[in-house]
Amino acid sequence: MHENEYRIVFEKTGRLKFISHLDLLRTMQRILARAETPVDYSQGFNPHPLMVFALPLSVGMESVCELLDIRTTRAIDCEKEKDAINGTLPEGLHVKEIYQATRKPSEVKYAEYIIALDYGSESENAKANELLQTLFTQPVTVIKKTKSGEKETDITPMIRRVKSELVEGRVRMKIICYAGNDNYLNPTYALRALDERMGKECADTRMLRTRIFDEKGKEFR
Amino acid sequence: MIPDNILMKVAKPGRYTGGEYGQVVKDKAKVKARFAFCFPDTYEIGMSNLGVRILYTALNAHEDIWCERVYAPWTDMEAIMREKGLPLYALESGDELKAFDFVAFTLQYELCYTNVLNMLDLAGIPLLSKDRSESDPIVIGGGPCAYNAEPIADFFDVFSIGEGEEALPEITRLYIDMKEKGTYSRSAFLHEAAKLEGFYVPSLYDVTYNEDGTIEAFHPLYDDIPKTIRKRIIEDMDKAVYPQKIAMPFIETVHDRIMLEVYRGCIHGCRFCQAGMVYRPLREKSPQVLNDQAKCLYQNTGYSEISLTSLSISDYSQLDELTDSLLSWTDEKKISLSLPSLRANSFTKELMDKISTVRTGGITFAPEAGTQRLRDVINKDIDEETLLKACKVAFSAGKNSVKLYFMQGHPTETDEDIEGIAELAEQVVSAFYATPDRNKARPVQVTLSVACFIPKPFTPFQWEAQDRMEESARKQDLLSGKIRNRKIRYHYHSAEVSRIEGVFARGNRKLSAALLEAHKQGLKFDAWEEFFSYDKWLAVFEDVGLDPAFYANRAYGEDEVLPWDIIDIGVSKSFLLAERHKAYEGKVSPRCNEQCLACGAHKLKGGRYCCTKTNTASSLKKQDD
Repeated sequence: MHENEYRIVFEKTGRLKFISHLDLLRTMQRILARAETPVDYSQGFNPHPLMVFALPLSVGMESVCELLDIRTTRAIDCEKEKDAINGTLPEGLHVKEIYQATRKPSEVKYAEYIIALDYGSESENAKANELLQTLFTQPVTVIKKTKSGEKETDITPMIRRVKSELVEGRVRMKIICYAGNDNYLNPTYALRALDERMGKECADTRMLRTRIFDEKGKEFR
Repeated sequence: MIPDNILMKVAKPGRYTGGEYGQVVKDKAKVKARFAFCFPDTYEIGMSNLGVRILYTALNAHEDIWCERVYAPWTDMEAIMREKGLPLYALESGDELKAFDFVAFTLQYELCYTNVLNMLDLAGIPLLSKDRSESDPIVIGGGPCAYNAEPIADFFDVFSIGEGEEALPEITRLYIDMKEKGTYSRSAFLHEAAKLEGFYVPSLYDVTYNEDGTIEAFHPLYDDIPKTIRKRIIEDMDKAVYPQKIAMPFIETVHDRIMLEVYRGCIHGCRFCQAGMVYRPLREKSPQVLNDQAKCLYQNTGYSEISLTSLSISDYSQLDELTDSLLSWTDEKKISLSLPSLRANSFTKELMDKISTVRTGGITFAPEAGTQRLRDVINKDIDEETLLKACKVAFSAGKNSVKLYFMQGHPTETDEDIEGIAELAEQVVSAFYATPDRNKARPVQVTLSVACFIPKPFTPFQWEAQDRMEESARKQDLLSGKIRNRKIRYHYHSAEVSRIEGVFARGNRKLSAALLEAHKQGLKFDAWEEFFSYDKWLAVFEDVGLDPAFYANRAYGEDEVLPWDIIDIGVSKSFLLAERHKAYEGKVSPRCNEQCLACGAHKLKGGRYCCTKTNTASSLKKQDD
């Protein structure tokens, strides 16, 4: 790793969940410019700032564990930089930590999500909760969009763990699934499979990415 | 606020969320007047508008006034809002427009009028001023189209004429005062507002017509309101309020950059150009002020581009000082400078070097007409030699593409003038090959963009007839046939769109009926190709019994009372008329920094901002008379 490689750990919550990955990248470039973070630029005819998100977040999801890796022109004081950036953020973004990156983002393997579901009534939510107890213990085929088109995929092998319970009449599930560069499961597919078995679209879904892990199941850092 | 499950269903939800860094949020309890500033087009277009950014700043500078932003929802969102009964709301608070004291619309182009009606409808505010009750907001309009507000007069309670930085807080102050004193009623307020300088309350002026449909006279309903409404200007641009921060859009917008307004007004008197007349007199900002504003805006936005805006940037008297001071800090921060309104006669190697260090892309010039004869008629002071020289400068700097803007349908135009456009393009191609140090890696590309001339109020050509549709089409075919070279690309504007624009540009109050009918028939987003329907517009005019040709294709009489005669822009009608006559004689007029032509703009506030260098006592005296 380059010595001036830093990792910004941030939250993206509230209305910011509607901001796409590309838009967030542009937004972050401007934020770092405002904070006067000495981001390095690529060489060449059209220099661009050296920054990359470890794990793009789908539109509609919130997260408390987003990672932005940046290369700087010089060593920075992580605490000071954190304060400077936090001083110029819109509501919904918040930097939790900045540290010197020692591992590549490609070592990320799994992500954990907490998902709140409401199908509209307590009885339906109870049914959904019941289904979730066993749903992903067997093959679950969904139509998955890939670069080369749509194809049928069994998503169960891509899910490490699912836990579900009823909290105040609503479904609260925790799911850990593959989240690597080469093998990524958007948990929305799991929800779609549940919708299919419920015979209706979930009325209110809230998704929060909470943690990311490496291959050994340790929190990635 | 729009619920999350709806935002998940629409395209670009970032248009509707608000919450941008730099937006202004105030405590409702401490605010005495709330302003909903509407841009009647999409978020991406509206957020890029400098005028909105300035007026948002000017209003919010007052502690007890809160100005918020509103944009037209795209059709997917509108359908859901209508289905669920969600009213139009402002982005900062999420409150519906009916809760505001003022609902303001900036009127940038005529084709946004149907969107204004649609937004009022979505807000649940009665479309017609006369139908509004005491609890409805005051609907106020402003911007370039307000210089002839007659076609939309029935929908607005009041128009702000001219520059609004000082005027809008003033009318809001009047509102607050009347509310506090208990003297406020809708009618009492509008009567008082009509007495303020620069405010036009159309309902307080009756219009009578002659038998031929032209206007007989405007009749003020009260003796204590002005017979004509004089536009407002900012006297000292260095002291004018300017944004220190900008609400930073999350999604990509049309202009994601810092816009630095360098000066207002224009020293050229192109006879078709409304902006060149209505923004007079010329008022520059100083390079120090501009440099400070740019730095401050960079620190508060993080934008990587600064665009120097004005009607013709190379006419700025201190352009070198300005670009030098900007480049002293922008280069290292990888900020690019763009100068979008360069004229060919000032396009030099030195200037090119300054901007090309950071900027790539093609260059654009606007000869506007194909022959010298016609360029003299329209008073566009650019000749072939200058244009070709400027192109050669660009070519030797490695550029391969040039874009040229023209208009067809100018007064006195002949086929020779149309053919001249193709010939000029050929000359530019030849100039490329005659440049020894050109970029030989790629071929040259000359793009012609030809718009249809639309006579606009407050120009020397305001009396002219617009070309009829068949004639526009014939000229487009003629030019198309003349272009044989594959290195030349030819684009033309839709004559149908231009005609509808022409109708409303010079329209009178009767057109309010057409707009109401168009709204009923579901017309909106007329500025968008996918929505504009010429046939539907013709049907609308037919349904309300109005002839579009009366407005667009008729030469207005020189002694006719024009719909916009109620407005005084400073520049006098007699000056415009004299310029029209000179056009027919093929005579050019000098730039106003060379010789003052006593256009009348000087009388605004009596300050001498324009023509300071070469004023003669006699010309100023003439103006003062």
